[in-house]
Formats: sequence, C-alpha cells, structure tokens
Amino acid sequence: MISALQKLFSSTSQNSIFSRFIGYFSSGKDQPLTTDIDYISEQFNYYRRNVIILITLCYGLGYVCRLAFNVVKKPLMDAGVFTPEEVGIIGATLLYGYALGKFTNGFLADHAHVGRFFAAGLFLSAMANLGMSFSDLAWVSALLWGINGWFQGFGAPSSVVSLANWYTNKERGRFYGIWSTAHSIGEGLTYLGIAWLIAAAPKGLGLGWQWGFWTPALICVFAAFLLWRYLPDRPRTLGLPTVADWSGDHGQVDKQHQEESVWKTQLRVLTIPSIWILALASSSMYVTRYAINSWGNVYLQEIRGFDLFDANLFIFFNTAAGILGCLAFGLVSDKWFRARRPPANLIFALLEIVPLLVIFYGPQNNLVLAIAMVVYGFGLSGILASLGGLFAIDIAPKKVAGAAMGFIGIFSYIGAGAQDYISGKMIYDSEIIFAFPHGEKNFNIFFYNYDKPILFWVGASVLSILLASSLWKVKAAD
Amino acid sequence: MTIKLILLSIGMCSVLVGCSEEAADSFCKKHGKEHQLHQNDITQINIDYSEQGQIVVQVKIAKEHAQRQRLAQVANIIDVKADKSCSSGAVDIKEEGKYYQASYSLNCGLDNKLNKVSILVLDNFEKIDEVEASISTPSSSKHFVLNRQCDSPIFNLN
Repeated sequence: MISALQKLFSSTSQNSIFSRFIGYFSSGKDQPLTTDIDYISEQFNYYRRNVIILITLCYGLGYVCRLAFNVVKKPLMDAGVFTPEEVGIIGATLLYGYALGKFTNGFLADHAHVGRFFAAGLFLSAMANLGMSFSDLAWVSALLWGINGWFQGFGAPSSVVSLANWYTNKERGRFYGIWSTAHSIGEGLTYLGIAWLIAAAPKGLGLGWQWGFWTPALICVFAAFLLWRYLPDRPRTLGLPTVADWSGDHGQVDKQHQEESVWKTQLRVLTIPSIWILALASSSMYVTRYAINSWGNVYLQEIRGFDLFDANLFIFFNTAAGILGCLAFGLVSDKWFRARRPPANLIFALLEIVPLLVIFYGPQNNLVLAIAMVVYGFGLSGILASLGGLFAIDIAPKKVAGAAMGFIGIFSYIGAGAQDYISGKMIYDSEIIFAFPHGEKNFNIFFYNYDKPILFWVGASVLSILLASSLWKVKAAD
Repeated sequence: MTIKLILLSIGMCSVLVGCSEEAADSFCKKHGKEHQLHQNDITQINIDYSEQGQIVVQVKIAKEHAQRQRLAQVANIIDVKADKSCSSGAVDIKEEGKYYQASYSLNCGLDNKLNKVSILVLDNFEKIDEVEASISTPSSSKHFVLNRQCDSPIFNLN
C-alpha cells in the first residue's frame, strides 16, 4: 500500500498544481548534515522547546473547535434551531469523522511536514466552525461537523510524529505526558471560556450561540498560524541529525521485525479475541465518556436547573480531575499490581460507576455533585487510559501497538458517535412542549425526561467493566 | 513571537468586549434582574404535570385584564395535544381583591404521551404584556418570564 502511494506521489510530479500542493504538505528532503556540534545542540534545544510548547498549546486550543458544539447545544435547542435528535445526529457526525480521521491522518502525518499539516487541519476546522454559526439546517450542520471531525483528526498524529522526531525514546513518555495535558487545557477553555461567553449575565457575557462557533474559529486560526509559522519539519530536513543520533539513544532492533512483515502482524492483531473484547469494552466506556461530555451540561441545565455557566463548570471538574486519573492509573497498576491492568481496571471502574450513580440518583446537593464529578473524572480517565491504550499495548505484539490502538480507537469513536445519536433520539422522544402563543409568535418551553438515557449511560459503563474483567487472566505479549 | 501573541490576544479580547456591551443593553437582557420590582402586578401562571397524568393550571390575573366569562372557558386557557385525549375537570374561579385566581385541571391518564401543551393566556387576553410562569413536570421544573417585547423566555430571574 505504501509503495502504491509513493508511486502515486511520484507520478504526480508530472502534474504541476497537484504535485506542488502535495509537495507543500510533504516532509522536505533530507539536507546535508551540519558538522558544527555546538550549532546542532543549540538548534536542537531551540526546536525541542518550541515543539513541546507549540503542540501542547495548539492541540489544546484546537480542542475548542471540537467541543464548542457541546456548550451551545442547550441554547440551540431552546431557540428551536435544532431538536435534541438533530443535535444528537450532528454531534455523532463529528465523532465518526474523528474516528476516520484518526485512521487516515495517522498514515498521512508520517509523510507530512507536520507544521503545515497540523496548521491546515486547524484552519479548516476553524472554517467548519464558522460555517456552523451560519447554518440552521440540520443536514448542513451535520455535514460541516462531520468534516470538522476529520480535520480535528490532523492534530493528534501530527503531535505524535513531532514527539517521535524531536524527543528520544527515554524521554518521550515524559513529554507525551506534558502534551496529554492539552486535552484538559482544551476542555477547560471550552467548558469555562466558551460557556462564559454564552452564559447570561452576570456570570457570562450573554452573547448569542453563534459566538460559541465564532470564538473557537478565531482561536483555531490563531493556533494554525502559530503552527504554520513555527512548528518545524523533521530534524534531517533542517540539516540536523536524527534525535537518536544526536542523543545516542537508539532502540533495540527486534529480530521478529525482520521475520514477519508489519502488515502481516497488523492483520494478526485482528485475530486476537482479547483485542475484540477490549475494543467492545472501550467502546462501551466511550459511550459514558461522551454522554457526560456531550449531554452532561444539557442534563444539568434541564433537570438540575443550573445555568449554562455552572453546568459547564461541573463538567470542567470532571475533565480537570482526569489529568490525575491518567497519571494515577499507570502508577497504581505498575506499582501495586506489577503492571497487571485488570485489577486496576476494576478499582478505577468502581471509582467511575459509583459517583456516576451519585450524580444521577444521589442527593440533590451541589457539593455532593461537585465531589462526585471529580471522582468520576478521576476514575473514568484512569480506566480510559487502560482500555483505550495501555491494556491494548500490553496485549498486542509491540511492533503493531499502533494498529491495535487504531483498531480500538475506531471502535471507541463509533461507540461514542452512536451514543450521541441514541441519546439525542431518546431525549427527543420524551419531549413535551409548553407553548405560549401570542399572535403569530410562540414562546416554546421544552421539557425532556432523561430516565432512559441515564440508564443507557450507566449501563454502558457496567457492560464495559464486565467485558474488561473477562480479560482478568490475559497476559501481556512480547 | 511573544509580541505577536500579545497583540493578537488583545485584539481578540477587544472584539469580544465590544460586542458584549451592545447585547447587555437590551431590555430583555436586563429584565431578569429588574423583574422583581413589578412581580406582584403581573399575571402569574403555575402549571403542575404530575406522574399520574394530571395537569393543574393556576392563573392569577388582574381583573382589568380579563373577563370572568372568558376565564371560565378551559379552551381559552389551555389546549393539550397528546397521544390520547385528556378529560377536563372542574374550573374554579375566585376573586381576591383586584385579581382573579383561576384553577383548571385536566386528566390525561397514565401512559399518555403529551406532545404539546399550549397556554393561551397571551393569545386570548390581549391586555397582558407579561406573564411569570412556573412549570413542574415529573422530570424537572422551570421558572421564567414571558414578555411580548422579547423573542425568547427570560430565565434565571433574580
């Protein structure tokens, strides 16, 4: 497949416009190596500092263009622009687009000048957000938001390629951890910043829902500019040695790698039953994760009576606690259970499911809700780190860990997308409109019942942990 | 790089603040805070939809805004569209000073999905400019003000 694409790219050299377009986004040619060691170290220090700041900051800023719709769901429903079912469909298209984007863009990013590639993704995502602000047609919004999901899929592979190009094997975990905080930066910016713009005074500025798309678009254009201008291509294209040569941190060559092709091993991953069970478990957990992220603030406004700002503040609590959950899961499973994930999965699942029950069925008390949100976010992030990544890497052959994660990732986002539609449909089916007509106008007050969606969200978590626990005796592969 | 970042941030903030002032000046934006000053003078509607399928509507309306005869007709106050039809109960109207206190009940029964409940007060009593309403359903409650000048309900009343 790779050689076919290489042929395609080389054949396009005949076609000047297409080849220039591809060439612009392709990684540059290797330049003659600089011999001045001091200059090389100086350049590496400069670029490595820029890379981690840029990918963390810009991936975080880019997240705003992905989550903005969640914040404006309620205003859109209240204004009668979209029904909950339409909102669910639109939200689902982003997740399907993102699932596809993660798969395709992962391959493309390996061949790209990541600064330009990532910047293009963010710029196009900004344009999709801009388009959303002018659309009151459900199918147009669904199309735009689905395409936005694909553009959003440019970010993670570009960031990971940058991490691989500029940081050594021994330090990559640490820098990966720093980059991972971008998720919380983005979610925080969205659930606090964008909510502040839309929320009514005095807590917010009380701007129209359109600002929930215009502001992210501005932010993403700004982030795209930074990436386009400052995120570098590979070291070799700048006349620098590879980071492994510069640091002397070379990995071991795996003999198995030479005996079986990566493509064959990737296919073999699909024959491992544990990977399928894990994919289903992760998919179920993504149902709950995206249910809370997508519908949680709508639920808190509709049923618990919070205003838009406070509702998003509670959602922010769970995302902020997620940073600690990710770090704690690795520590707990490594130190307490000798890198066995299933016991830690069970502990973190309980830390996720119990507060979930408190949130929906517990006392109607703000402090209890805030604590439950924090514990839920902590537990969920921990178990997601395992089901969506760490456990998969344990089970899969190491040289195709990426394929295993990609396979589980697609399942996860299909689950998340299906959730958005199913939740929206169930909420819409429960709709009661209290209308106050006056002349040709109508004041419509919408009421929804969340009993069925809540059962669906909690049930998905329970199913997930049952599936994950069935892998109790599965051992890590080499 | 730092200077460009700062300039762009200042520019973005200026745009946002500039636009927010214009929106906050409108009557409908401010009325949520000021509503309590005239709260006792305006029409009040309480709607309770119980788990048993009973809808009870209570209306407090100034006599100068409504005629008793028109208030006595359930069809002038409420219209329900549901999967099955609802039966009307008794109408009770009392006089309390310069107000009428009217109560209506409908029994829609269990397992009857309500689709739309229209409250026709603004349509049938043209002298009413503003209504304060509370609606309670088995899943949630909402409290808001409707003013003819505004395009949307005003929530978050102080």
